Amino acid sequence: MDDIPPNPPIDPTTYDLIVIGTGLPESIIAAAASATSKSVLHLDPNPFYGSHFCSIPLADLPSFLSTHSTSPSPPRPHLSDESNEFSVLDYLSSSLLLYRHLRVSPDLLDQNSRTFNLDVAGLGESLECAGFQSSIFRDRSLGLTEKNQLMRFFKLVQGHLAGEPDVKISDEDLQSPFVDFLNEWDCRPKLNRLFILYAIAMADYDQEHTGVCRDLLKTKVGIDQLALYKHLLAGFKMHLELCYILFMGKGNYPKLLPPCCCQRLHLCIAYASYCITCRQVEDLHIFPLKTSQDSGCYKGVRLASGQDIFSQKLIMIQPLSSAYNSESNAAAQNETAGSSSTGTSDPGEGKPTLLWSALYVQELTLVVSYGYFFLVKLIYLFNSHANGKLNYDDLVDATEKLFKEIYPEDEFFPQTSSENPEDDDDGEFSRNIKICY
Amino acid sequence: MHGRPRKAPKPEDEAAATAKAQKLRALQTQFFSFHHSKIYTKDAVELSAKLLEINPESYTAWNYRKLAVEHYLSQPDCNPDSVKSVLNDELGVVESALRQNFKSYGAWHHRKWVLSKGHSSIDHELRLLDKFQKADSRNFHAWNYRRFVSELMNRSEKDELKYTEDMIYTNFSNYSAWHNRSVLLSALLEKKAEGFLSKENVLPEEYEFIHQAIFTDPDDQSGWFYHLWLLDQTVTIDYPLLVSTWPAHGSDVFLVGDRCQIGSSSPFTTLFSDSGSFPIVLYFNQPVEGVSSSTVSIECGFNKSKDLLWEPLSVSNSQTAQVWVAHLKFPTSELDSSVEVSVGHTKEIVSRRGFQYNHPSTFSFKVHVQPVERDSSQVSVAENILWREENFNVYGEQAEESIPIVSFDRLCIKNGHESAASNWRIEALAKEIECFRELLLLMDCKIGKLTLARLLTAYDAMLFPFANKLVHSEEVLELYNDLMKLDPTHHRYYKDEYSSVLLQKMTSSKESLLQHCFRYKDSVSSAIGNTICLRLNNLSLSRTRALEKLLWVQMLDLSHNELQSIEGLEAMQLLSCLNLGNNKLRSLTALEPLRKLKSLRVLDISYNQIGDHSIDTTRYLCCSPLSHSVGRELNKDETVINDVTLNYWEAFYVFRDLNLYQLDIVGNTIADEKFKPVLVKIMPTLKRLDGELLD
Repeated sequence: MDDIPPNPPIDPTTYDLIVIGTGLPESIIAAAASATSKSVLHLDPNPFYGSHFCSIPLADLPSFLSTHSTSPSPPRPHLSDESNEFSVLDYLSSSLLLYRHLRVSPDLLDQNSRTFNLDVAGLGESLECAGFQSSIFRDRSLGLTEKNQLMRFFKLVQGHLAGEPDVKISDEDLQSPFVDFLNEWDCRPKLNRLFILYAIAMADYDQEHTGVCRDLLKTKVGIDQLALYKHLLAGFKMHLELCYILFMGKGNYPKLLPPCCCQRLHLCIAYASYCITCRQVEDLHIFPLKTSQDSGCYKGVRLASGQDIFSQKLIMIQPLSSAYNSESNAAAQNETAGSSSTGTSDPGEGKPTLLWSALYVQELTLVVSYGYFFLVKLIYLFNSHANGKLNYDDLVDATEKLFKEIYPEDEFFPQTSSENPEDDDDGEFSRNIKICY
Repeated sequence: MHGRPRKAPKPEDEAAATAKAQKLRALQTQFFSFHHSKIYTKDAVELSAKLLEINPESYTAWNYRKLAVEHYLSQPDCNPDSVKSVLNDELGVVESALRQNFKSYGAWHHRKWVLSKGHSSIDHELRLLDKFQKADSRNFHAWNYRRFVSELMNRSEKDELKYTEDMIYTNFSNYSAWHNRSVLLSALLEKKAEGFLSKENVLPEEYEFIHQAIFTDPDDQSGWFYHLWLLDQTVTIDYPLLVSTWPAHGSDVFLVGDRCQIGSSSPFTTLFSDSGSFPIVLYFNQPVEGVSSSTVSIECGFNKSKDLLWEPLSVSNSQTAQVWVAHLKFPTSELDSSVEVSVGHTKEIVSRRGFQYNHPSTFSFKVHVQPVERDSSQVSVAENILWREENFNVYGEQAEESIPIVSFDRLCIKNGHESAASNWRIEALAKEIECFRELLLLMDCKIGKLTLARLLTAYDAMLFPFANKLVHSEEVLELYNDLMKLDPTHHRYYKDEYSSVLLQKMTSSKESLLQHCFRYKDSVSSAIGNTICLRLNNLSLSRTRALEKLLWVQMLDLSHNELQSIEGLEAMQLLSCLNLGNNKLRSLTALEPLRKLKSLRVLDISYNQIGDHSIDTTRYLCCSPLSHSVGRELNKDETVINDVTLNYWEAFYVFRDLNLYQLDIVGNTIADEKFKPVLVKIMPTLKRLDGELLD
């Protein structure tokens, strides 16, 4: 990466808000702040988008884990001359030890590296028709028949959720196993059944061998899983659009979108995969700057290039490594051992097999600087520990809460523009935001 | 942006609207006073901007601004910088107007006007468009403007094509993007740009692309539109071709004068004519112009006059027609002679879209003249043609007659280049057929069925010269039957298509055609002579299409169908007896094609719905005194009394040029006691009206 020319200096050097990291909450906050006419600088020290919401090919997993477990010891900029005014914190070494307990078996990676993607924060598909429609349309790895059927299934679910009488799924059906429902619905291409079961409803375990299946998904639950995305989207669509524009602001985004990645597991375009695919390889290290006089106050960031950027407020969202759940790690490794053989014996069939599901409970620490040190604990990724399904249920709420704390006087995405799309000028927020990766 | 429900205005909205209107009115009054006294001061111009910001639809204000700009530019102290700033101001005004109403024609037009002055940055326009198209990706104003801008800046069509692709990837439910794609592809193909040399290379990829959209969501219409365009591109052969003629190539024509005995000549090719001439009919695959004695040459022993008059057989009186006719006089000196007709050896036959006829072809036939034996006793009483079942005998297959359709095959222009070029078309169609069969397996889908029917029809037509059979016609008929049940709203369209396919099927082979051939009585001495009657009755036809193989027919029974129109029937120049009884013809103007049938003697239009409907929907299509196209003729005709022309001009218009002996019109509302004398007056040749012998 030495031959990459250094990033041009960022101009201007003062912002209302600096956001570090391009995970979902960071992006939402950046967009929200921008929508209320704040000038925002959005930075990400990683060579990929998405931070802890990224989606990475399995082969990249070891390097992903290692960057987050051991500090890669970036070249520390020269710190001597401004020490009176403020001190520089080492952002990376302090907190990024999140994944240090994870071990990956190299064999597993070799066998499956081309077939799977790893979603660090789970899948976050949108079940909104237009968006979903284009995702299916774009995906060249799906056959025509599969496209047709998937789309119809989602229309069915949508109709059901919207309470249209002629597409209502009967109570009896809702209580039956989801896999049976899919069979009965005549999901002709087997592959589609697998997508819906494993990739979208995110069922664990083998649903088609009811005897051995430990967790048989009922139709109702399956539909609810889909509904959850739908529901999220309702409160979420706006934000996703914002993030979308935020990332794709340059207007050339469609070509960046992948043919939905490898092994169709990744059927729907996850938010995270937007991020990962927009990757630009740039080496940008960030060091928060802290004033020495006022111990709680952050002033801005120092980039790897040595440039200092100042802002009134600074947002960094970091998972806390302490709450790591080692128990599920063990379970995950068992899973790995158990199913890796399935993967090798039947690779041509392309049946998605759950290789491992790692469940980790983590807390997020928010470092926000607006005059004093502020700490918010967010528990995200889980809406319920009981069923342990990954989702973004509380994430938006938590993000909104955070936004309110930073900018109590501003509205979180003023509604006016969405009600009156004629006047919707998307330039408004993209004008106020500057993205650097 | 789209699909927003209309809401009743709230009281406060109405109050606001009233206030706005008041403000607007005041502005407008002031604006008009400036405009009328041609005041272009700064204040006045600003006032118009204010007006336009509130109401972008004010065309006068846009025009005023144009005048103001012209006025300013004509000032002596005007320099390039100030020109630029004036024009930029205009762009600013347009922009704020568009913010008010994105769909304002006036605003977009003004912008174009400013841009064509050539002093403004075009890059900025593209950026602006990006913004607009992000707000509403399918707004056609923005797309129109985009085409304008890209032409202005000479942006390559390939880049624009890429842009449509990007837009489609964002959301494929975008009619404008698909449309622009078809426009761009047409342009690239016409230019033969690199990578777009032939349809053969481009279309398969496009099919592949559109399948993604259609299969993903068959309910979304935008993709189907594009597919239809692709299908048209695949099927349409640009160059005009001669598809049928009368007389057919290699046939023997027996010409017989007025009502006379003939011997053993073929009933299919014996022609009775009392005018001393016979027609030559050219049937092309599409409407063409430029058929004349210079583009069509005739070699024959008997007719020395080279200047044959070719007449386009089109209802609209235009000089473009699919079927052309000329009349050749009977040979007088020789009894047997051969005629050779050469078409298109000069390049003046041109299709509507400007493609030249470039397959010079020649056909020849022999003419045998039967000596005329006048028998005065037979002339006085015209025989009553009765279309009764018992009067028709199955023609049967006893005679190995040379049915013209068989001999016609010899005309088929076998051109190596052409058939090689159409291989890809056949392949593409076969692929599409397979694809849509698959879709129909997945789901019941009306548009899928319709598309499959269209594909199969096109495929059969394309393969016909090789297979000599319409392989899929049964399946197509079944599909249309299905569609009629599934989709009653478009019943009539499906019915028309059904009729067309059915007719094609029946005329496609000698066997199927012979099943419909009958001999009228066993008389050979009737007014119509020894003629074969083609009976296409009781088939619930709603349209008369696929007539190119029926040019030889002289007696045609189309009764007991569901015809509402007889468009295309004018091509059947030999028709002398026609039965249109018990159909659904609604007006006399619907009979307009009959005007071109000079040999028609016997006509049955009984039991139709002529006069039932007070509103004649075909009237506006018809050349009428109202459209001033037949007014002159009317004035010339002094013998016709005024009330006839006033009240029955349609009857006068349709029937006056026909030399009918026999007309049946009973069972129509129009045919009351007042009407019959009118008919007799219009047609002095008429001998029988509704079966009654006239004096």
